[in-house]
Amino acid sequence: MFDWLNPYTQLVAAGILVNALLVLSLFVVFQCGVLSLATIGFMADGAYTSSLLATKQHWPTVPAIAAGAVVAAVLAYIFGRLVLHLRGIYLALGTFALGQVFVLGIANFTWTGGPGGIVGIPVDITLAELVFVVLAVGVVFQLVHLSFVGRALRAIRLDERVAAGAGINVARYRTLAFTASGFLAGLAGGFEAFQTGVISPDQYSFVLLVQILALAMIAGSYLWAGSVLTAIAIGVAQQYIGTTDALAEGLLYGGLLVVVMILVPNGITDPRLLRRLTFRRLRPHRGPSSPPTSEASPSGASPLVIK
Amino acid sequence: MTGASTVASPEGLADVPAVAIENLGKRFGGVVAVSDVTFALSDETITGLIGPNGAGKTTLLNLITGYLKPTSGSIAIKGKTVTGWLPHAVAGMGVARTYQNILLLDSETVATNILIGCHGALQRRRLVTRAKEWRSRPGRDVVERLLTVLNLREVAKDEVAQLPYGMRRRVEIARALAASPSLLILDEPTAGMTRDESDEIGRLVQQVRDAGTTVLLVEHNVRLVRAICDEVLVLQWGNIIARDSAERVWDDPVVRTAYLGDMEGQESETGPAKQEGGTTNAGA
Amino acid sequence: MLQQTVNGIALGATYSLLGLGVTLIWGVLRVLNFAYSQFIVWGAFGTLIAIENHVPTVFAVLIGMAVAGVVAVFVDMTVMQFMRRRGTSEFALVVATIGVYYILSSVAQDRSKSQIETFPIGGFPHGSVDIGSTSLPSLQLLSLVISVAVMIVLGYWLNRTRLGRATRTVAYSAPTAELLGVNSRAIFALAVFVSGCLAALAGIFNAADSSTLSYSDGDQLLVVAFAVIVLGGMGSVKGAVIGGLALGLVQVYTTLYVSGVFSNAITYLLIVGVLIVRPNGLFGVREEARV
Repeated sequence: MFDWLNPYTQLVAAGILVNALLVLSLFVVFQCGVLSLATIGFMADGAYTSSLLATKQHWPTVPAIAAGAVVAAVLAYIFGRLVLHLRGIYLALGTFALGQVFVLGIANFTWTGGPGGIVGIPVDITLAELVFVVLAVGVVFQLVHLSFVGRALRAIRLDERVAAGAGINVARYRTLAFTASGFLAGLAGGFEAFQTGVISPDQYSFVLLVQILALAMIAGSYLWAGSVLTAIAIGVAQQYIGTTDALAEGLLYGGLLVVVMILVPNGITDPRLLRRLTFRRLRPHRGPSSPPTSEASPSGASPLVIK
Repeated sequence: MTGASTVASPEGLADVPAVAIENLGKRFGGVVAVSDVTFALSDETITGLIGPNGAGKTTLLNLITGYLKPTSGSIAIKGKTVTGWLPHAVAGMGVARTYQNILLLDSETVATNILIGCHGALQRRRLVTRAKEWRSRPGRDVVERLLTVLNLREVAKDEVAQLPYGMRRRVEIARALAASPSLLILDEPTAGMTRDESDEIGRLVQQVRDAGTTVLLVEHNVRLVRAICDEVLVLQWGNIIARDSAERVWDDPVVRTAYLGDMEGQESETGPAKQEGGTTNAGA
Repeated sequence: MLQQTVNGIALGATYSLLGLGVTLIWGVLRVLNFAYSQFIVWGAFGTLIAIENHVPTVFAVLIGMAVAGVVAVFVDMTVMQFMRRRGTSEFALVVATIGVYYILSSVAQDRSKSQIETFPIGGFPHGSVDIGSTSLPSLQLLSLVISVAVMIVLGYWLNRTRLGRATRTVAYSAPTAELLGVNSRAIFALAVFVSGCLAALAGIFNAADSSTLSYSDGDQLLVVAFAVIVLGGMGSVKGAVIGGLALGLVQVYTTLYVSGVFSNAITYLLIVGVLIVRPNGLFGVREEARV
């Protein structure tokens, strides 16, 4: 299907789509207000499960990748139930440590290949298969977005108290999102392993997390398509700029992350931002008194204002 | 008419009160917010909960709706003990509420905010029903009706953050009603509203009661309380100091000293309300 | 066994320094700062460059601390200050510090050509001091003495001095502090500067201990710092010191009784475990959500 692309371009495109899956895995938790930094850990779980099944048990590729994603999802479910009652900073810290426990665990056991990793994973995933998976995931995201489940997830992000008061089981939805996040990260890990044929623990690094995080934060947590398009756009742009050395990459991703957080902390798909950009209508005064605070304080703004 | 006696007969469904609270207490560290409250709400009535600022009214609502865990005592809704339940579970029992300091999803539209209120109803439906309703957008009928009832139609697609205060209150009430609750809890629904607006809310609450919902209303607007409440509970320092009909409760000397005495010290917002209460006596 | 305990305490002393730095910015600014990892690295690099330019070691250490302090203040004055003024969420602040981390880290990586550099330890105390049947390396003894001193000074500063009370007022509520005539910006800057200095000090001790320095040294130490404040409770000075010492002991015992490779994994496990059991740390106070 994509034979007209040269092998190098296919490889790059596959890498970008794997990134898109990872960004979606962050999107799904960000959507309900959970700042999870565990994604890279689940990616490693998925990659190692599928690679070990393929190399040691000789499983065919597709079941192996699926099993990897399921194992990552199960781990996410089990540990998600434990850490998801944490709030704010503590949650970020808890998920960060959780992700690292998986990566360090993998690096320190012998049956996982230790720090050396696994070689000889069959390289038989085509770009077409990856495109199909990303599209299928997209369809599921779109259905969820339109359903009351998607609405509940967004409500939890915007105000947990309101969500709970409306009968939304906050803990259950957050666990659901965290499990889905684990599944997607595991899927991405599996695809990546069967793309490159070699994996080692040190590729699931903090730097990779930062890059994915940058993409996810730029995209924002409102539209899943925004996540995919951002991953593709920045991946393609990076190819054209030709940033391969660490300094340029660091400045690009780090700088983007800082600038986006300052200018559009809710990402570029923030509905408010889009509304403001698309129709900038001047609204007449409605009702007796427009509250003076409506312009000055956006939602979720902390009252901390330093003059 | 005390709560304790009504809870004792759970088999007769008609006797089960919408809410029955027994010896409920809540302490924050050394501060006693609610000390030992016992009452039951009769079905399909409007009960006013009044009391000076800091009497523990909002704390009591937060205890009933699961936002706070009581230090002692028990809460039963429709005969089922819900003490210590989380807010979503209490909401699942048919309880919907509004909040003193208006909680809305600020960046969402009015319609979406109301739709959130339907969540419980949508969630309880079977998957097949949900699939069938896919194209008809479940919940839309409810939202349409509430937009009309609360006069929010023209702002349906607007972001709630940009609406004036009174309208935001109405969106909150609409969201609570979207759940078609059997117990509706309103925390100062008319605060910051003009007199006409609050009269309108009063009529709406009466309609809601007539349709079969029990209402618990925390309100500073004495005129409104007199006009619509079937019964009034007076809370002071975490205790219920009086319980009577809306007309007679004011004659209680305890209430006069505790509540009305305190009101003179309050800001202008409630001051006129008290005077209005006197002048519109006949109307009530 | 006794020797291992002494080693654990010595290791824990450096960890306490790290924890003190993070707990100070957390307590005052309410920010979980991932860029802290790079304050550690930049401080150590500052010292390294100074030593390479034949600055006496003591001054080189001070230069390193100043470098980290200035970088920390610069980051705070620009990115953080700007975001606070716009009332950005906690979520966005954490992510922005991760961005800053990445920028600083890639600059440090570029400087050292992705290699591990040798850290000259000629000017640092060497040899060891015998205490009873145990011996303690002089360097670690020094770091222990310094951490205890820093803890005492910090405790005195926050609790007994006028400036310290001002700092705690700012930590409680910056607008209130402003109303009381406290310059909250200056307090923020001071807290950030001190925390940067502490980061540098920990980084320098760590580098002198292993006599090597890598641009990625900070990552592991950052996790250690997080573990320390999770153990001790965020924002608690006493907790940071106790947490640091406890973590040092746990790591040493793990290496001794289980395996050396797991001493890192155990740090992460501790973070997760303590967060699950006591979300506000062993010394923290539980807060109740209110509507």
